[in-house]
Amino acid sequence: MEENYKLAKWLDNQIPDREMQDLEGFDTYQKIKKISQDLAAPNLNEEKTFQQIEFRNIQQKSNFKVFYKFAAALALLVGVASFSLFFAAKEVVTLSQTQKIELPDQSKIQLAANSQLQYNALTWWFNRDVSLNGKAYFEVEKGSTFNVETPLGLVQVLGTKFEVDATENQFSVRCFEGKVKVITNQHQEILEANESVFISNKNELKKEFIPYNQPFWTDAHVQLNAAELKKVVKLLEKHFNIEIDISTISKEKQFSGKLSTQDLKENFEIISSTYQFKIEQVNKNKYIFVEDEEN
Amino acid sequence: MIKKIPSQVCEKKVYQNLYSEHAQVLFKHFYYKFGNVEWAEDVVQESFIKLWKKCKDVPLPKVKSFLYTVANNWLINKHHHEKVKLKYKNDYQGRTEDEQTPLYVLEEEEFKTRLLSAINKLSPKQRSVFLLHRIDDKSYREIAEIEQISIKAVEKRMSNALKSLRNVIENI
Repeated sequence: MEENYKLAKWLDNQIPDREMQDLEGFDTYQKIKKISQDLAAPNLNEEKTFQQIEFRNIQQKSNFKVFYKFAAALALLVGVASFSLFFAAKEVVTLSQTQKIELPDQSKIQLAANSQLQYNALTWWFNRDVSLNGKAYFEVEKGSTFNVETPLGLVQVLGTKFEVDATENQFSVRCFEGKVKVITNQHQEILEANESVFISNKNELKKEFIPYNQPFWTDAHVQLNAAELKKVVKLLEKHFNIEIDISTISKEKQFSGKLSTQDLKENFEIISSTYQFKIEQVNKNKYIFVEDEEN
Repeated sequence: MIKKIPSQVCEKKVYQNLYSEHAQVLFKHFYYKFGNVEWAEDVVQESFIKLWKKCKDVPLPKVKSFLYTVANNWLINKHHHEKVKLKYKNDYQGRTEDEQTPLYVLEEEEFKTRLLSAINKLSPKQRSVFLLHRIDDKSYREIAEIEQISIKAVEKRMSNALKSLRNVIENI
């Protein structure tokens, strides 16, 4: 029996070589001991795995919220009204209009049409979590981590302004101020001001620069900073559902200034006076920009 | 009503420290057994998620055995295992002149190859014990905790591992 443990003790340097020299095959054992010191194995990517664990832990928590709501309904049913105070889950659903929401810590959310948002007003001070299905613009006060849970991923921030557009099929985040962290099953991306990220349900990721300082739909005016003319035109086309022909414009132009999100005519006046363009309407939804010859 | 004092494991910082302390060894242990990186990663994820869920019920001193019990149960049905892919650190420094001759180097390379294939022929339990000691510098006491067996049993496994390594190497 003793013999059984002797080899192990020798390998662990508890027994010196000289006590083992007579053992059959000692030469080979010694080589094994020496050579195996140089062995190396694959390592765990600790950071990546921990992020996945944290993400799944948070998802689990949101399952608990459903459970809490069920419990609250039950408590009401029993008539313990005071008890339900613990479960101050709020839900806001918009149909065709946007809605402004102010959270207990003065953070502001503007919820776009056709969107759904949930948070808990009472536990807010410990846990700044909202869950979102749809589109919303956030102005977050500084404080503990602010989490936006969506069907495809998680957005984590400290204090900043950003927009989230999230459904089951696609997920995009635009950051307008500060920094936000976007986490999905496969990606993790930190966005700085004026960066946006788009993630499809096939988990492809696209990162882009954005030249404006808040989403078009939240306010009557939007500030653009050094935006290329092409980008300005694209924004107008998309927002007002029109077509603009700029094929005759030769110069590279950058635009800085305020544009209206309501009034197309006002925008055309601003652009034509800033850059000496003539703007002509071709048909109901089509316009053409022409450089003014006189200048 | 007696108020239950919540375990420290539920504190995020403690949880994170526990992860830094145990995740790597947990991963290695299961990688040595099954030779599959994905399974070993899964095991780390599953056992730590379970720990978070049960953080109120697991006191700090019990965390290690909790993790290994969950992990062992998780993989209990995986019978087949793959080749463990190991490398040698190229450490030629501090060699004597004798050890730098082409013949010596050639012989050593051959021995290295033999050792790798012998390691892959060990039983998963023996392999894990052997590699945790040789690669990760774990003491027999630590290995006993990881494998959830006695120190004597670890020593026995190790001795048997050495015998079977020698046997394979000398007969290739």
